[in-house]
Amino acid sequence: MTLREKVRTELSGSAIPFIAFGIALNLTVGQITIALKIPLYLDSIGTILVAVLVGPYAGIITGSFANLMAAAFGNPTMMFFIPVVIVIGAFTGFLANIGWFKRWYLCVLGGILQGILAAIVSAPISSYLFGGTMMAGTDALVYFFRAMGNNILTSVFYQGLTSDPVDKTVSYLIVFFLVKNLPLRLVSKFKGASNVVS
Amino acid sequence: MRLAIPDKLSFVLLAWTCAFLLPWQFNIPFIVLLVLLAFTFNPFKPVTASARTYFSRFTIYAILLVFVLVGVNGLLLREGPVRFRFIVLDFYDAGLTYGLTVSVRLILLSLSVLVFFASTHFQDFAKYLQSLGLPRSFVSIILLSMFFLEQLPHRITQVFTAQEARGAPVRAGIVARSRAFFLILSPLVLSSIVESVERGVALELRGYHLLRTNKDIRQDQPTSRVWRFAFLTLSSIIIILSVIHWLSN
Amino acid sequence: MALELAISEFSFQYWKDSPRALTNVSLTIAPGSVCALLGPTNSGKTTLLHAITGILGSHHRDAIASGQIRVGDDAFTPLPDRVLFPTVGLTLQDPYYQISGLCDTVVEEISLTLETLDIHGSDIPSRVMALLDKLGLSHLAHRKPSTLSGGELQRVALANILVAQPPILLLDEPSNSLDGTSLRRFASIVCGLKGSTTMVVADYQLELAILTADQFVIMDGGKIIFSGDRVQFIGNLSRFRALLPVGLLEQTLRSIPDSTLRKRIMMTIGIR
Ligand SMILES: Nc1ncnc2c1ncn2[C@@H]1O[C@H](COP(=O)(O)OP(=O)(O)OP(=O)(O)O)[C@@H](O)[C@H]1O
Ligand SMILES: [Mg+2]
Repeated sequence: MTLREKVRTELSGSAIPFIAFGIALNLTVGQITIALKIPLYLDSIGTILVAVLVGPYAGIITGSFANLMAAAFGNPTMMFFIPVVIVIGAFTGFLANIGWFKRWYLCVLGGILQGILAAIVSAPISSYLFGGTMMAGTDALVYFFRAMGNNILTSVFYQGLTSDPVDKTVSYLIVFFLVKNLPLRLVSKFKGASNVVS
Repeated sequence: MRLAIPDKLSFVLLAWTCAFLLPWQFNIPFIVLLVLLAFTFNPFKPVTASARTYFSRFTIYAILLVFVLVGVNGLLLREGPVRFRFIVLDFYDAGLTYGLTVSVRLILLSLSVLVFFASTHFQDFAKYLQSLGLPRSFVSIILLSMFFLEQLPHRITQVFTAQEARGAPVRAGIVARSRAFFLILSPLVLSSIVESVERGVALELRGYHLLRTNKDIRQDQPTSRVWRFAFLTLSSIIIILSVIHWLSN
Repeated sequence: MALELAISEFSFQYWKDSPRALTNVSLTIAPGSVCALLGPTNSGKTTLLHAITGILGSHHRDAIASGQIRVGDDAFTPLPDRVLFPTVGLTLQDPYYQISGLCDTVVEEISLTLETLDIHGSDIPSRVMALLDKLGLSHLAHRKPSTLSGGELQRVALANILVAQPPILLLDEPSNSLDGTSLRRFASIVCGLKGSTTMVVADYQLELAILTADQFVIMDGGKIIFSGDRVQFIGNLSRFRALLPVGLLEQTLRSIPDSTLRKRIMMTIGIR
């Protein structure tokens, strides 16, 4: 199958409105985490949900469009992290395709791997473009690692390792239980139904 | 005077070229120019009320960014002479320069993107992409997500109040709050998935074919290509000069 | 041009272990007439309509189906596996979802249907406006679709489909969001389409059916338990007391004290 055909099969049926929902969810989930004072971003939940229920290409589209729209609606720096969300969409879709979203412990393992991968991809961006300063509480950790004698890239990567695996594991588990609670009749409407039910 | 989307995009490209290739001293005037344009020059003025608020938020962000980046790196990057001393803190030259370089580059990169999107309706941008050959389903995704974006915050508030009324521990410990997060997300996702499925069916029932491209979308007015030509030429000149400069070192 | 719709011995199961949603459904609807498909919830009305449109066949590839569905001269055994729009048009049970969410005005929303069918031309705006006029929607032409009320949405959803002039039109519970006045207006729209369009109106209420239908079909548990014309239907009404809100209709009619007025009303809605 050519790439175009693969994308076409993923984008049929309910996928289009669902991807749109995933994008909107990525962009609004912060509203809930802030209101509940949850110390995680969880802003890939929409991408992960779509990647699991539809597939990797749909996940890539969800993530990159969400960041593009975040940039368009007042957060231009989100634009630079599009490579990271592409990796998240692709890797999650891959894990779902090999059945890792059927068991909660595989989700934990997958979340940790995903977190490490995200830390690897985002470190060069955060260090080169942002000098390791994201203007967030986590910057303190970056400065700590730097004061210990590491260079910026390494420090940013270490900091990513302390937060990304937690964030992604929690996101993976949330998506796992969300999907598990969905009626079979709904799940069966999606291309990735076989990713989550046997 | 009008600038079409491709003109503005070439301007962003010019800004990015400068951001990556020119030293920070050159880029500060560019940033000032961008700010001036956004406030005085029609094609770059924000098109919606919310777009105007992006600028005040970004200004605060940018100012803090410069202070933190310059300050922290001045302290941590201990190379070259000490530029100045603040009580017991020594600020080193190399760190200060690095902080300035990074913050000016980042501000120019982001500000140009911000100005572009603030001065362009996102729908127009989507239609422009479509006229370049982006499949129509992608454009539909963009338009539909704007539809969901309008509805979701409202629905979140609704579910939130409903859960609070049922006694979801919104003001309790972290475990209870995580549970509350799930209790809010779950009905939201369920109803939105139902809605996605129904909307998908409805679109199909109207003969909506997927991944077809519409290249024949008319641009509203043919505009002159002078501007994009100028911006692109300028970018190329900067790139060539930088390469020459780099080779001669 | 209206087409004949014929369904013969059609059975359908969503998947292997689920109960049959439809069992041996046979039904022929003459070109240009209106068939009321009545039945309580879960009786299989939506399933049957979705089967005719092709959406069921294209979405549920591992469903179990048998029989035949014939649309005009095209016979599908057992059911169409692609969406037959614009030959067959369907308005959904919930009109809110039939608004695409892609458009800023009602006119654009309706034109979107033509656009997806690759129908272009300078007469499109006037064609859309004429249709809006016919449906009594002209005043909404430039409103944002997501801000409309239920009854308005119902008619815009109908316009979305009608603009393509489908020879077969299926309406899934159109009276859900209609009150007395708008119901009668909707009924007159349906009657106005008779002759040029073959229509199926699925409903669990009787009003719209009585006001519009030539043929009455009652379903229960996925089976057709009655099929007949208006006279036969009215004559047998009391049999379906348990399935349909029959009492309500009788009550309304009987509560009219003036016997001449009662007769006149019964005449206008076609009960002799
Ligand atoms: N997607 C589906 N997957 C599995 N079973 C389904 C599905 N949709 C409907 N059913 C089942 O098929 C049967 C018929 O349902 P259908 O929706 O056609 O009834 P209906 O007459 O339209 O009811 P209502 O008046 O509530 O709309 C029901 O038992 C229902 O549970
Ligand atoms: Mg139904």
